[in-house]
Amino acid sequence: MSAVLEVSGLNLVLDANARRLHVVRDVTLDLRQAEVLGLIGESGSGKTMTGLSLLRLEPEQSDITATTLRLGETDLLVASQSALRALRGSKIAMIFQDPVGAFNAAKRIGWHARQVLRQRNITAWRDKTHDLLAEVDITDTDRVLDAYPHQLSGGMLQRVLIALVLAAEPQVIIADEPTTNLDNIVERQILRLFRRLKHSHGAAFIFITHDMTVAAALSDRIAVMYAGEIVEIGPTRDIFDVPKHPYTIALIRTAQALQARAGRLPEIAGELPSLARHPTGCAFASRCPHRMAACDTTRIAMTQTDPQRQVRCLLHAPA
Amino acid sequence: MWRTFRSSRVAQVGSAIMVFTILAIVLIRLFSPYQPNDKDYEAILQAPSLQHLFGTDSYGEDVLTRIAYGAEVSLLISFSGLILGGLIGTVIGTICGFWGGVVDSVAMRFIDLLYSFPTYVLALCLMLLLGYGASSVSLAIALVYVPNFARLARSMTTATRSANYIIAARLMGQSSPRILLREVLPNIAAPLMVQFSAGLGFGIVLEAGLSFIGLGVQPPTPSLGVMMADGKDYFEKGPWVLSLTGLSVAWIILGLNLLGDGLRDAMDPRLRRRRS
Amino acid sequence: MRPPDPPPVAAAMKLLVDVQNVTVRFRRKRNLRAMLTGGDVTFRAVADADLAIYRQEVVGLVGESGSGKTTLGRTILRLYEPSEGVVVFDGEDITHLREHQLRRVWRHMALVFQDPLSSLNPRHSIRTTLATPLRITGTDGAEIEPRVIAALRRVGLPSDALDRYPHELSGGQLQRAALARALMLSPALVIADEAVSKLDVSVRSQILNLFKDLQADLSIAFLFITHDLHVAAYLCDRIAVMFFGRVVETAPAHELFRTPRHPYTRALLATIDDTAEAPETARRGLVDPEVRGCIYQSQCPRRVARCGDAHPPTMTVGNDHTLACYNSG
Repeated sequence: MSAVLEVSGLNLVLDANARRLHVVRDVTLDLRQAEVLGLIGESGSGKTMTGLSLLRLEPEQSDITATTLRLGETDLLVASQSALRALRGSKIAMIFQDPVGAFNAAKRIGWHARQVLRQRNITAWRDKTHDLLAEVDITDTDRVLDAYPHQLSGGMLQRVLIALVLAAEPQVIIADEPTTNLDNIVERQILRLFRRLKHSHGAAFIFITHDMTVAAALSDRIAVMYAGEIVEIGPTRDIFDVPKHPYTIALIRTAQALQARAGRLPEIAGELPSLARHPTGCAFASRCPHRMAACDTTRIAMTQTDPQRQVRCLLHAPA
Repeated sequence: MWRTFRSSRVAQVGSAIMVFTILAIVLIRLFSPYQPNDKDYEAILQAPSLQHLFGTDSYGEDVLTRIAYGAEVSLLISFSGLILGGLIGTVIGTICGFWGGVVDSVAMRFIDLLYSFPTYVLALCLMLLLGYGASSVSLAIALVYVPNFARLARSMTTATRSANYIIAARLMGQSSPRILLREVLPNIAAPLMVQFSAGLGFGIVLEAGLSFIGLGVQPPTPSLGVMMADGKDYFEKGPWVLSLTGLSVAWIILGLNLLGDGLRDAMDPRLRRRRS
Repeated sequence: MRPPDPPPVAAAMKLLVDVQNVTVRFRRKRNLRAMLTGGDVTFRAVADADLAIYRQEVVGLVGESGSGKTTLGRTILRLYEPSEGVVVFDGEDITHLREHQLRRVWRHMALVFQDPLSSLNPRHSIRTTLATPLRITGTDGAEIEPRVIAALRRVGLPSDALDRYPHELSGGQLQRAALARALMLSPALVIADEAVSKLDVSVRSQILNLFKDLQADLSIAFLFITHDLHVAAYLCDRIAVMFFGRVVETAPAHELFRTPRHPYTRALLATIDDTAEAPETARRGLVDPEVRGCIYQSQCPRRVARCGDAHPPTMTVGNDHTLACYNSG
């Protein structure tokens, strides 16, 4: 299957208050039709900025560069503002962490649905809305449509948002931590929903999250980000069975330890490095239990360890 | 924040202007061979020359010296009025914002009443009650600014009141006055300072305006407003009096406004450095 | 002469916090629309809740957002006043005390917030923040600095953090500072409200380990409010589960996981066990907070006729295990 989204050498530098923050470094990934790519990282990893860059919604004071940034046939780097606007929502869409901000608090849900569907030239909006809401497991459609955003729970709003995003049948959906603010039960339902939609709509997802377990439940492939770089990428099962990058290993161990209710949780010592002063070598070196001298001085490239897997680590680099 | 302020171009220009102005005032006061009220009937309405850098007015008084003394008076009036209005307004605003309830409702209605008066009408009413003169102008400026500061302080305090660190402060057992002073005030000071510097500029305008119509600073005290009033009477014969005085007023207001803008930009949380 | 200290077992069983039948109502802001449509004026965040916290134990309060867990926690601190019911702290009824009376009680309680950055005064250095509780209680000036430094060390912060300001610290460091502040006056109870939810996974372990260490060293009672069952299970001796303002089940942690009785608890646990289709999870309609009968009716796969009459009373069903359900089976 051809790639729906092709990204290589993506870099984003933010101009924040006379400092330049290199928030996305040399990110290369591709997304195939009907696949879910889990983008895992903690705050400061660059995962949200990467997501925004894919929609060309990067902040104003910033420089974006890439070798390739293509959505299907369209080069997103050179596309005009109007072309981008036409693409957003219809070909590539984003679901944000906090659904509340996506709605106009003074308008009913029905109004929002009408806005979205009218814009896509869909008549008979009420029927179509019924269908869409049913797809996201909302049965009390009339009541929901008459409600105001603040009258619905977070989980409900998120599902409505997903329904509206789906209305336009985008090829690529970028979901940025869509379940973080929701409780476990609702989260599971939404994840199951995503899984179903992947099959029924053939849409490709980039699922951005900090939660390893959530990513594992949903993704076909996983990319782990740290300090703006992708440090490991590959099929989900492979990465969880045999994680290669020390950061990935630490993350998985922590998640598993919490579930096993271990006596003491494994810690990752230290803190994230400043994005203004990225070290020459590996960004994770200062926290890595396998640190070598070369780690601090070499610019580390991705190593292809298997046909489907890549790791950015000297431990796996060819001798 | 200080660093942002210093690096802000706007703030730099504003500061430069004000520093220059204050220095000029001081130097002129020290070194001018003339007193502001020295009349020289032999040299009335002389154009700017080496002896009188800004020329003379219809009494032969040196314009530059008068501008310097007048500017000082204007700045002092504006400053004192702003300080007074700022203090009273801030106290009212923080108390209303923090405690709410009946006190808040009643006090803010009075504030709204004050606020609804057009500025000059309010000032004139006060002048009628207090009589004319520099101190009345100062009080008028204070009165004009009490509602400004009260509303600002109140909204900032209301926003801060429910902040987590205030709850933490209460749980520590801090008394309310202590919380207001030590926890709330440092966090609302910034916008208040911006308001203060912005107000200084308008205070000058107000003072000049009132003096222009004869209700403000009374002769023989020099005042920019009075000078402009005189200058307009004989504008054809000696345009430099009105023009140069007017330009000086504009210059000072520009400096104060830029300073205020620079302060405001420095306070902008978007520009403030945070660990991402 | 002071009576001898009670034996450790008895001390551990001593009741510190006793919440009985507490209901907390808030007045909703009356806007034009509400007045015209006759909308609800009050909103019931917590309904008829019971909770007991013994000295030195760690109790978890688990529920989704909107379950009332934060409200309940803050009501124990008397940041809110219950509309009904009683809050007893260390044998004293604090339900209706006024703020100046509560200050005395607050010496023995502390709160750690979800967002560490907003919980510290942005204009105060860490040193000032930590010194303030000592200053207020009249600690001698000379003693303040050493105690502040000791507090820093206890939470694993370097001493150069003292002169830093909150915006210069990371999330993990801020939460450590917040913890240090909470412990300054050696409280008997620390309430942590989603204290690790906003932290990254790698930092979360550090802070959770820190909580465990502190609890062991300082013999403090903790109320750990969280939506994450994993975290609650890791840290807590006993767990209380809340749903839409009601406490539906409480039990010792291991027992709750082994034999959950309430359908909601079972549904929550099913999500952890990662089984593909959990039989207990029902379709979600809208929950009606003012419904007659059990609050969980609309979601419950085990609903029977009785559930619609009145909300089930809380019964004791085992060793320290309470439950509010008619048909738990």
